[in-house]
Amino acid sequence: MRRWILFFIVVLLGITVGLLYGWVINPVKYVDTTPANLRSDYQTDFVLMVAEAYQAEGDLDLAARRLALLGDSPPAEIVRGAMITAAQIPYADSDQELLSLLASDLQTWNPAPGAPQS
Amino acid sequence: MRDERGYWYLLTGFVIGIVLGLVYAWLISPQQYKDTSPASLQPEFKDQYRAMIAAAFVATGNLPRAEARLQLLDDQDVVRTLTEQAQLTLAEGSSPTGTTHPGRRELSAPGPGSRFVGSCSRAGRNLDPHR
Repeated sequence: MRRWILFFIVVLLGITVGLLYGWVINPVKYVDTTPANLRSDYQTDFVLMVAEAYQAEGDLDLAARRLALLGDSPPAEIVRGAMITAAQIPYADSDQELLSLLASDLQTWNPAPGAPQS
Repeated sequence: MRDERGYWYLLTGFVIGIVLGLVYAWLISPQQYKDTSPASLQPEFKDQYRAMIAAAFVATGNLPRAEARLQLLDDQDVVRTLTEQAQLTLAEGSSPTGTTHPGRRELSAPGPGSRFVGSCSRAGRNLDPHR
């Protein structure tokens, strides 16, 4: 009986060491991730890039396609999330206006066939 | 009767524990797969990210901001990477982001003498991409 207790104690000790090594000392390093996994401030900067390009190009379908890189959420929702992060950081007023303009236009956008749904 | 099996069972248990711990930590529940940086993106997404930086740069002319964004990708040679991507894109006749604007320098890396240099603050923009 004592042997079994000792056995399970060292198994638990081994699990602890394994978790420590796998989570802290040598955790999984992620490569080949997608834009949807980016940290929120990076995603917000990406949305700002889309808004900057949209301001010059005026192509809402293209803007929506670019925003689709950030996940399956509707483009307008992605921009709204970015606006919240931009206000928290905070972004310059001119940048927040760009995001606001894009969000506003996406509200009334009718997606072309094959485009991400709003 | 005297037990002569020794303490090898303890080592066995310890090894089993380590294996179980590593399987859980690396395979079952690895560290969160979120909050990554642009540097960890798949190569094709990095291409799209670069193209997006270029599209924003063409729209705003904000070179410091574009440079700051490009640094996020951790490319060893930014200009060379951009040039190669531009050549590939031109060869394919389209942009990774879906833009097809003939004549637009969407993916080209501007040199120090670019007409965009010096126009960075014309709109009063914050040059830090994260502010």
